[in-house]
Amino acid sequence: MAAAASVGLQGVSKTYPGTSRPAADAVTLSIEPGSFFSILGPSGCGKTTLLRIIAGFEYPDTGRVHIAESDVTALSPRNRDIAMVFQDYALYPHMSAEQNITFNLRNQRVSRDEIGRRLAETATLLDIGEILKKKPAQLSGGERQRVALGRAMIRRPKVFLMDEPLSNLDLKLREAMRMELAKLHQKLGTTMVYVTHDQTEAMTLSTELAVLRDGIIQQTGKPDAVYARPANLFVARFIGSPSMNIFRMTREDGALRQSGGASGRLPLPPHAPVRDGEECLVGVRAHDMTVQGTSGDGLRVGVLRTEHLGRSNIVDCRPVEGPDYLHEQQVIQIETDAAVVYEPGAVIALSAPAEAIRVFGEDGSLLEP
Amino acid sequence: MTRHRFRSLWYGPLLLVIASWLFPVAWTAITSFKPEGGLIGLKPVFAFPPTLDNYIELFAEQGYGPLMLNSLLIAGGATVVSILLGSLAAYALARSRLRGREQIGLWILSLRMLPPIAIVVPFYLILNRSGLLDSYAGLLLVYLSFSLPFAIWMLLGFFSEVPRSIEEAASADGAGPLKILFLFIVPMCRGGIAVTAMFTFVFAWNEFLFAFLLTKDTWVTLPVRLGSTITPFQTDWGSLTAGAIVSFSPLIIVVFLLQREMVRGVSLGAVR
Repeated sequence: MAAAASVGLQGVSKTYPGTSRPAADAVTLSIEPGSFFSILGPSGCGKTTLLRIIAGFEYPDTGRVHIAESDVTALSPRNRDIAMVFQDYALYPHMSAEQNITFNLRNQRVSRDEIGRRLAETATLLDIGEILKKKPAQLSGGERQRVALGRAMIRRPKVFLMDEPLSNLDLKLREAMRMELAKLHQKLGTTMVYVTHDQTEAMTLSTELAVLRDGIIQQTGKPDAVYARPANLFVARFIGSPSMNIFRMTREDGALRQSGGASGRLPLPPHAPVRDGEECLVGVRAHDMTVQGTSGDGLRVGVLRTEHLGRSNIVDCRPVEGPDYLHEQQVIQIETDAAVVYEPGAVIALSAPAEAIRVFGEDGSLLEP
Repeated sequence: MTRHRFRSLWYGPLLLVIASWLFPVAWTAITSFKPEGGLIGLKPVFAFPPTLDNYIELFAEQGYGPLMLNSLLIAGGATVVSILLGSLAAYALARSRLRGREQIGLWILSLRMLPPIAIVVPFYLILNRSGLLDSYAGLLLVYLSFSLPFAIWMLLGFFSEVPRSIEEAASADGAGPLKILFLFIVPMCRGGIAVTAMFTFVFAWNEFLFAFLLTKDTWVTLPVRLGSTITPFQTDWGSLTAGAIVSFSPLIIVVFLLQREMVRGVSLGAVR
C-alpha cells in the first residue's frame, strides 16, 4: 500500500478568465499525511477550484502545489497519482461497473491476476459484488456512488480527492455513506481531501478542516477547535447548527451590557481584550445559553416558537427591548432540554457562562485574551 | 382524450406527404422491372410480367459491378478518413482552450457554404497539374474537402455534449488525450458518429459534379454513369430506372445497418 502523502498549497491564486474576483486568493494549506481534510464553505466560495487545482484539472495563476513533498504544479492529472470522486460520479457510461473500476489498472497493464484480486477486495469492501456486470445507467444513486469510490480506491493513490460526493444522495443514504466514508478512511489510512458545503459532514468526518469564503481561507484547524473558537464571525455563523448567536454589546462595569439602550447583561469573559465603554460583538452558541426565568439581569426575550428535535428543543426568541443589538440575524436561538417547554409569547431572561462567551472585534475577528 | 382524437386527424395529411415522397421511388422501382417496350405509353401500366432483364443487362453488359466498387471505395474512403480525422479535429476544437476556437469552427463550417461549381474549375486545374485527374487519391482529396468540414462540425456538436467530468475522471485514471478520445469520447458518441458517417457516406455516394468533371474512365462513379444514360437522342428508361434502384439500395442498407446505433445514441444521451 502506498504510504499516505502530504498535500501542500503555497500562495495559490486563481482567477477564471472573464471574472474579476479570484476563485482562490493566496491560499496556503498544509495537509498532513493520512488526514481527512475538509474544505468547507458556501457555494461559490472556491472550494471546488482548490480541489481541481490539487487534482491538476486547473492550473493556478500563481503559487505551487505539492503532493508527497514534491512539486506537482506543472504535472498533468494522470501523473499526480491522485484519484478523484466527482459530485456527479462521472462514471464511464459505456463501461460496466467492473470495467469502470478496473480501467486504471488495465491501462497500467497490471497483470490479470492482480486486477482480479484487487477487484474482489474492493468489491467486498464496498459490497458491490452483485452489480459489477451492470452499466452505470442501470445502477441506483447509491450504487453509482460505491462504484465511483471503488474506481478511486482500487488504485491505492497517494491522495483521494472528493468533490461533494454525497450531495446527490437522499438523506438516509447520505448518512449511511458518511459512516462508511469514515470507516473507509480509517481502514485505508490514505490522505483524503474532501470538499463540502455541509458543515455536519465536515464536522463529523474530518480530522482537520479549512473554512473558505470568497477564495480566502478563514480558518484551519481540528473541527472541535474551529467550533469552539471560530476565528471570525463568518466561521462562527457558518459552523454549527443552529448557528452562533451574535450580539452587539458594550463593556460596562466589568460586564457586557447590550447596546441600544437596553439593560440586559452577560458576564465578561476573563481577560477579554475590551476596554471599558468599548463596543464589541459577542457570540454565544445556542446550547450555551442559559435561561434565568424572568427575574435575572440577562437579555430579555420573547419566545416565538419551539422546534422539537427529540432529545432537545430549539427555541426561537426575539428581543423585547433594544432590538438593535442583534447582528445580521432576526432571532436568538437557544437549545433547551426536551422537557422544558415555553409558551409562545412568554418573556424569559437569557444568560451564559463566561467561558462560553466569545468576543469579536468590529472587523469581525475573534479577540483572543 | 380530445388530444388523442385530434392527433388522429394528422394521419391523413401525413400519409399524403409520405405517399408523395414514396411515389417517385416506387414508380422507378416498378418501371425497372418492366420488360423492354412496355416502358412508355400514354396510360400508366400496373399489370405486366416482371422481369430482371434490365438488371442483368446493367451488370452483364454495362459494367455496373466495377462502377459500384468505384463508388463504394470513394464514398467509403471519404467517410472513414473524415470520421478519423474529423474526430481528432472535433475533439481539439471541443476541448482546447485555444483562443478564437469558435471562429475556427465557423470557418470550417463556412467551407461547406462554397458553391461546388465555384471551386470545381480550380480543382480541375490543380488535379490536372498534379496528374491526379481520374485518380482515386485525387477524387478522395476533393471529396474530403467537403466531407471533412461537415464531419468536424457534426462531431463537434456531439463531443461537446460529453460531460467534462468524465474526461477529467479518465485523465485522473491515467488516460492521455488520445486514449480519452478513442476509449471514452468516441464510444460514448457512437450514435452521433453513426449519424455523421451516414450523412458523409450519402453525400459522397450521391455527389455528381466533381465526379463528373474530375474523372474520365477509371474512377467514374455511379451517378456520373447514370447521368450519361440520358442523351439528347434517346433515354434508355430500363437501364436508367434499374440503375437508379441499384445506386439507391446501398444507401438503404447503410441506413439500416446504422439505425440501431443511431437509436442507441439518442437513448444513451438521455440516461445519466
